[in-house]
Amino acid sequence: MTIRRTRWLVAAQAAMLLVLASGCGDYQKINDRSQIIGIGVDPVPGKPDLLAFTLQVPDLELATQQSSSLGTGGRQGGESVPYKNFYVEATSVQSAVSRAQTMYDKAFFLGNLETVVFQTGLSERDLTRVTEQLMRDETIDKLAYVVATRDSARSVLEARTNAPPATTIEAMWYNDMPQRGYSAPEKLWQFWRDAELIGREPHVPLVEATDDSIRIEGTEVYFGYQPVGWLTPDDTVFYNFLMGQVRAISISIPDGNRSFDVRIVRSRAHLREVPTPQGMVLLDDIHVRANLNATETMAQRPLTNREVERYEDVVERYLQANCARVLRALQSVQADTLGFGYRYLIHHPERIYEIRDHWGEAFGRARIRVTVKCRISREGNLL
Amino acid sequence: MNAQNERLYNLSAFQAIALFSSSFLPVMFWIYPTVAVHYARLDAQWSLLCTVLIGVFISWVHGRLNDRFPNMTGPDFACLVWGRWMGKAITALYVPVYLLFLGVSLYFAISLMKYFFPLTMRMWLALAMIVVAWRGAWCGVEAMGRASAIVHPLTFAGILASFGAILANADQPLIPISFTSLSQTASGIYHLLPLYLGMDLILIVNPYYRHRRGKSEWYPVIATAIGGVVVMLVFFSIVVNLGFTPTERLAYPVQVVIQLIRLRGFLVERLGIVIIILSVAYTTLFLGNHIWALSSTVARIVGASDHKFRPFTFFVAPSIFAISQIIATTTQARDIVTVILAPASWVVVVVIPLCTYLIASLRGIRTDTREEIQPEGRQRRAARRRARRSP
Repeated sequence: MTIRRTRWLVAAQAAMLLVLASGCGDYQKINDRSQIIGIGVDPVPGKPDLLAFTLQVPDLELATQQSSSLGTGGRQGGESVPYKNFYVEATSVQSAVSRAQTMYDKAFFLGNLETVVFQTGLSERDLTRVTEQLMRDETIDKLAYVVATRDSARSVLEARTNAPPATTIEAMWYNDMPQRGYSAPEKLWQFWRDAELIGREPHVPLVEATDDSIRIEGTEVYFGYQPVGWLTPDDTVFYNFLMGQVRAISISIPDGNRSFDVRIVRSRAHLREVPTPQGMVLLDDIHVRANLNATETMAQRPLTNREVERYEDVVERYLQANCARVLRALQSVQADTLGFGYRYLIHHPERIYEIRDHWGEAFGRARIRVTVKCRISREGNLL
Repeated sequence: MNAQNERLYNLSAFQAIALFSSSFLPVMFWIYPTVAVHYARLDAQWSLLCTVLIGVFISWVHGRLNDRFPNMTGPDFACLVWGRWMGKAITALYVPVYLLFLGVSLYFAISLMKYFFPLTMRMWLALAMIVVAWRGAWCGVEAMGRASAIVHPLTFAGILASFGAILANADQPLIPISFTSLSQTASGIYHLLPLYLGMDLILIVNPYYRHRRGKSEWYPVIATAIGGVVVMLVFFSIVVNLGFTPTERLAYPVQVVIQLIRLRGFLVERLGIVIIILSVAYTTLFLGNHIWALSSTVARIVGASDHKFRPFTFFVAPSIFAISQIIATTTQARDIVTVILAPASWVVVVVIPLCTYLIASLRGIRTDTREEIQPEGRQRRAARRRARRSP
């Protein structure tokens, strides 16, 4: 074949391949799309098959009309984006989105979902179904945060915050808040995983809408998809100690009728489970590193080494008592959110069916032993 | 071959290893954690390890077979060992198995691209990949070797980095060590061997790389070992993040786990699209390799030279495209993999090469003692040149 014919042939082949490269025929401009950033799910009283969905989208048209009123309230470079809510009663998330599409001129998409709010009164079947729908859809952002509320999900998503409530909730944890202790966040995929996993149960932060913000009220604990109880924010701190996830928070340690303050820099937990003929023994070794914030003597006397060691002992006793109490509270509702059951399954995989069917009871009856080791490493400026 | 009857070595060792490495994995890569956990429960990691070891051993057998018959393609030495008609029949067995396997791989690849292009018809996605692969295969094995030497190391590095990051992201890395049941593990191994289906491309590439005694038999082993590392790493990164039982529920666990982390400040923030780009390049290369290999096989079965494989690509490439369009749903594709391809891969990858090697050793058949591939070949070449130049 001559060179000219070869070149013509190659050019023809390349031109044919270019036909495959044009895929933008059904392109949708970003102005014509609207991302759903929050989904709230409430039960409908009297209609057990339907669920009341609240779909939240940012209203970007209104935001571009405001010129310089962003930056109010001390916020720089606005997250002050107004939002719109759509309220639909439907049997599933996707059919709710389709129904809501009749009320809006932009195409909804779920690729940037930020928050999912579940009302705690949802039945187990409804919660299982909604979670399945959210996980099955390939386009939904699985990194959305799941929260629960005892009011209605609608009221949470109607809170009067600067940014849309869904963004506010996500921003509490997404921006990697340097301190972690009063809340135990859970992403959508983690919620699904913990609910489906043998030997582990999900937990979800509880929120409520206040006058001008959203407040975290504790942690809701589930057994599978069934809510079984909740922890206060203070107890959530001890729960996070049990999980080894406390970081950079300051707490007050009572010591008789005095108290001192420490700032927990980091904590680690080491879980172990030991099967004995009398039942399971669950061990949790917690290691805490802390800095001193305030002393009992209010710096009127210089600090001695023995004093610091005594403080360490007081912290250890205080944390040990409260963590054991929280763990016993979890045992009373048979919700193993720490994952002892899964660890047991990993070490004894032949007992998979036994663990799947009876771990709740075994967890509820187990003996627990919590040990805490604290080290106060810095005292700050004052001695 | 040139006028001096020398064997030209078209592929360097690196290209040969890269070519071998990109000849297996895509058919099961996206679904194998689910299959492993479904059949082997908490012994999935043991059955995966055993599958990798079996694959490594079989690739060594392939390497030895190749070294035993250094200048012949697979169909040729099959005829030599088994007899002419039996050899052709055995080689003909490979054709439908490989066509089905390639069609299923293409189906899985375009199902994954639908995550990112949900409104594009499957037909166009498949057409895009198969046309590029066909064009690549048309260029011949040297071009495929060069392309493999670029694409495969990139893909390997990308997978190591991304799945290493996903593995490090897990909050509680828990892998079971104890071994539960032999029957579960065996069932897992049986169903996981299609991971290495496609390895027989090694037998067709035989004449195109240089055989050195004691060295070239290890090229396939290196390739399968690399594949084994990828397989184990991806499995562990999925299972420590998602746990064993939820993994069983996912249709495409590898794709799901990529979406689960967002690495802020890492080199690549959106991992999913990088993995898709790499895997599309890898799958296209894989298809091109196999289109060339299967066309050469068919050419040898009907008696044409394997250098004249190009007309046979007109049969192979459209068949692969047609099979990928006929498959309707993921569940159907998975049934094909577990019901048809699993036993077929045992026969085609393990049984036939092993038997061929055993029969060849027992009957003493080998062609590596022929003159033109003696280790002194270089000097002999020079000697021949001098003889020619003398008047």
